[in-house]
Amino acid sequence: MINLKNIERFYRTGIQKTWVLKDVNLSVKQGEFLTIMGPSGSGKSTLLNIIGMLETPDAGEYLFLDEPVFQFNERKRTELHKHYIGFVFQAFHLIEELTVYENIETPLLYRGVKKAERQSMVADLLDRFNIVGKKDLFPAQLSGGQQQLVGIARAIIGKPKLLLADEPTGNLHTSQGEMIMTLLKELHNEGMTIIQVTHNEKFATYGTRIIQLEDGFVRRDEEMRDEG
Amino acid sequence: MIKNYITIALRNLMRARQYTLINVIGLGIGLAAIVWAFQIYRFSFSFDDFHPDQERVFRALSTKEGNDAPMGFFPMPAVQLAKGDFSSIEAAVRIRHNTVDVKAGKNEPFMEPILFTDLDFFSVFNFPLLKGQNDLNDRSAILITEEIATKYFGDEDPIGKEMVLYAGTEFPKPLTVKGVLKNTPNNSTISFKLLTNYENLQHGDGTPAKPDEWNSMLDAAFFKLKTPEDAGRLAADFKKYLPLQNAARADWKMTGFSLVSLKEHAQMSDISVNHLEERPKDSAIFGPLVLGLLIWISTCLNFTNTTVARSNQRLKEMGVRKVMGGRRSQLTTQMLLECFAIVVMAFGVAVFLNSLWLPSFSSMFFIEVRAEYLTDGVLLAFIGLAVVLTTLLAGAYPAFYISRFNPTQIFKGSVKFGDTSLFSRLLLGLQVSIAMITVIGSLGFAENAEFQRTYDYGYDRENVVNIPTQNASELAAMKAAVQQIPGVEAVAGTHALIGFNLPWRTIEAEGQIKEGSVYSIGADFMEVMQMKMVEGRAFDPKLESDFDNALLVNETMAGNFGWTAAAAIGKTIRLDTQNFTVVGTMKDFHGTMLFGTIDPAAMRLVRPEAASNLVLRAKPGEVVSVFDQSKAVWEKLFPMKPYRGYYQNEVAAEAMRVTTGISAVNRLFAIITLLLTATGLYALVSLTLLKRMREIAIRKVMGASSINIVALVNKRYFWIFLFGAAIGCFGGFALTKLLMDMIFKINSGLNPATLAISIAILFLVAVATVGVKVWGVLRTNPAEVLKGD
Ligand SMILES: Nc1ncnc2c1ncn2[C@@H]1O[C@H](COP(=O)(O)OP(=O)(O)O)[C@@H](O)[C@H]1O
Ligand SMILES: [Mg+2]
Repeated sequence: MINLKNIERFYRTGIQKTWVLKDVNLSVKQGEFLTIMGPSGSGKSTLLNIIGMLETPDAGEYLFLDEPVFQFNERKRTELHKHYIGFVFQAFHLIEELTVYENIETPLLYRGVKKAERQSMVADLLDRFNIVGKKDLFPAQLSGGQQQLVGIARAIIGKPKLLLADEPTGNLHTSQGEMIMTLLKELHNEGMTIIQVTHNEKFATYGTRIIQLEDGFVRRDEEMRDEG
Repeated sequence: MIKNYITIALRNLMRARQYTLINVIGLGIGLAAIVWAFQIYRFSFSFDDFHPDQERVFRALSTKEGNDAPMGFFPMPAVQLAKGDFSSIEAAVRIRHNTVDVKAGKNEPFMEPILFTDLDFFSVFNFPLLKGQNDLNDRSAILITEEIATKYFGDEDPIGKEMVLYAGTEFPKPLTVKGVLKNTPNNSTISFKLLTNYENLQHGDGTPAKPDEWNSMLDAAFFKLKTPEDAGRLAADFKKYLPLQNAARADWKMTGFSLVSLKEHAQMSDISVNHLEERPKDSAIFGPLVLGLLIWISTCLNFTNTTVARSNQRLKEMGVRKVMGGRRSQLTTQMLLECFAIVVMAFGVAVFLNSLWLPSFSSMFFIEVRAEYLTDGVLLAFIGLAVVLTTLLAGAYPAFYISRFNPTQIFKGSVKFGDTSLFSRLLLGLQVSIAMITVIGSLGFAENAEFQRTYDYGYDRENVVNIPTQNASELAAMKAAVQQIPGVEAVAGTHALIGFNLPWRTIEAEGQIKEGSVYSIGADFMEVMQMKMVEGRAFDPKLESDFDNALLVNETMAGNFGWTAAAAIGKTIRLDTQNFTVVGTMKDFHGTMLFGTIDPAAMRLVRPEAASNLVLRAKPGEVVSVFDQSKAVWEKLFPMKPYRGYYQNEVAAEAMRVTTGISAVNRLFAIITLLLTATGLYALVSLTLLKRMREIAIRKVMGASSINIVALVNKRYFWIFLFGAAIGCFGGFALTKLLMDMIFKINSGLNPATLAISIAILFLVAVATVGVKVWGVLRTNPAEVLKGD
């Protein structure tokens, strides 16, 4: 599904280049649950953004479903965002002026889904995540865990093939974090490809594969033996 | 404490340079505009306010049969008689303006306006003497203004120099310069360049004016009374002069008199046949007043909006100050002080702008507006008031609003202020309305200019040249000479000209008394002017009776008597004591400028020996060269006499100048208000974007297209914009039409296309403004925005 070759990313400070990603090679198959780990500032978010096509690297090649991403125009990228990729953020990034229901509904608006269909899709998710009672509340009225549930609901409502989650549990208590991870695991079991960034060793084990970023390289890349 | 306030204020303004600059310039424009409007207003209502004993000086006005409007004319002999007859009259002044040829030294003669008046002139009016003496008792004396002194004598001392006035060309009257007066101020109804005793007035045939000429009219008569209460009784008593007067002028039967105070007469705008200067028309006073106020308000709104927008960035500072013990009133003071500093700087800009704007406006409209900031107490007081008002209007809302919050609210980030505020958006809507009004005004008057340029006056005004001469023999010689010029198509002699004199008189038919113009024209005049008949026939110089009693009427006059064009033929019309028979009805023509409607008019035929004006029509496109050639011809024939020829099209010039002037002023103001609207909109949109940067990034990540984002940002401005534009449309339409109707009885009105174009212009400006800002946001990478969290 994803094929990254010799990805480089640097920032220029004056005449000096600071490398974030030096030579990253990575391929992710459909149905994998990949965890990216590494110290702060090691370029995990940068890598995730490149995969999510929010950032363009300075060198390298990126094939998404065997198509060369760097040749896509703005419109095509927007199309991919709509239909293939969902994002979950550490800081939730819910729209404060919108209710829970409206937040989840928003991606469907951009996909031009009919009202009746939207209602049933959102209702299904609210039901599944057990937040039906909260649908008319505003984000500020929810706990962090509940907000992240909404964030995930919003990310998956469009049935993306790929879910990108940058430290989804970073702002949550452990118990809430576990709930979120269980949910991700479920989604993975249903066939969704997921790439997450986390600092939490335990949460990393929910996935099928872990890579370790250091000094701009992939230091470690191991498949998890399925213990369960 | 104060010092601390000021330091902080200045530092804050320095830090926000863009904000400061935009507002200093913006408010500078606004202040300049109201100072301009205020000065026009004051100028207009200051006419004749510089004479001593104002309340005791009265102007005598008359009324005439068939017309109730007060007229400026007054019977000449009645003034001196009244002074003798009524003991309550302390001084009496006759005023008669003439334009005469004046010769001094070796110069060629110039035409100059001269005032003939009485000994009492300087005891009633205040026209300061600069040099020599102003005793009109000296019959050989002529008094001149500084302007004339420089024009004729340059640096030399004019006192004692000789100046020769000519009545006609043959009758010189040498006078000696005895005094130099200050130029007459522009807010004086009495205006002159030369001044001499009434007894020096000569008629065209060289005979001196005699004190008992009852057929002679004064342009104005003024009386200074011992007790002002006597005015009403005195005006009634003046009726005893009516029989003498009306016996001498059967064509101009007066019915009564009135005395109005100097102040009142200076404000009257309905004196008919008024040969004194008048204050600017209401439209010229209130048009600028409305425009100036609109601009000023618009700049204040802009100031408020940008201040609000900036306050948002200062919320944190306010919170910190409060925590450190700043009281609300101190914070308010701090913010108002910053506003005040900006307004004061803006005033500097206003002074500069008006130093450019006032002179160019004055020369465009002949309305003198000056601003003498240092010596004019009233103006200073007005400016003080304007500065305080502007500070409060623009600064009060942000200052009081922002200082209200408590710090924890601010730190929690739950205070939202600025773009979402309906108040700010309403202000923006108001600005849009104002911009709309000025854009419509500018386009509307441009349209009117085009309408006037192509307006059919009912005669050929493009190709005709008028050449006044002084008698029939001059006319005959000139006529023969211009006929030799190849570009000349037709020539005629005439007494009356169209558009430059209004031979207004009483006209009687079938027992109805009406008024109208009666032109005495030469036989070929209508052919030269290309005027058309509707019914009946034109004059036939071969019929002797046509000279005696034939009359042509225009459609309007026929209509006034209740006749159709055809029915008018054969009717009898009485002028003075003489009966005429209507032989033809002419197509209507515009006998005046477009300021007025089409007048009822009649034509009678004059014999060649009574004609003194020459009219000629040039072949199309050759009028300028014909004009120059006829001037050359004249100078060869009459080397000692100034050539007085002018283009018939000058009849349209004044109206055209006014229209294009108004259009130009509106255009300038439209550009300003559009810029102001654009800055206001830019400030608000910037703020919205700043606040919603994160939201926009999230939406982009969720698949929102650029169009979705543009729609999102503009949604909150779209309706307010539409609302403002709609109000502006109505306001602009109503105000422009009102102004047009006030100034021009005949005008183009407003075309729906003008409104549509105005809306389009405003819309384009808005789209461009928002577009620039939104484009930048669309270009930013959402990852960049979301990264920080
Ligand atoms: N716009 C930028 N300019 C300069 N350096 C940047 C910029 N954005 C990120 N970086 C640097 O790139 C490095 C990697 O950032 P990031 O991918 O966010 O790390 P991680 O998510 O692993 O903590 C960091 O050292 C960060 O300081
Ligand atoms: Mg990170």
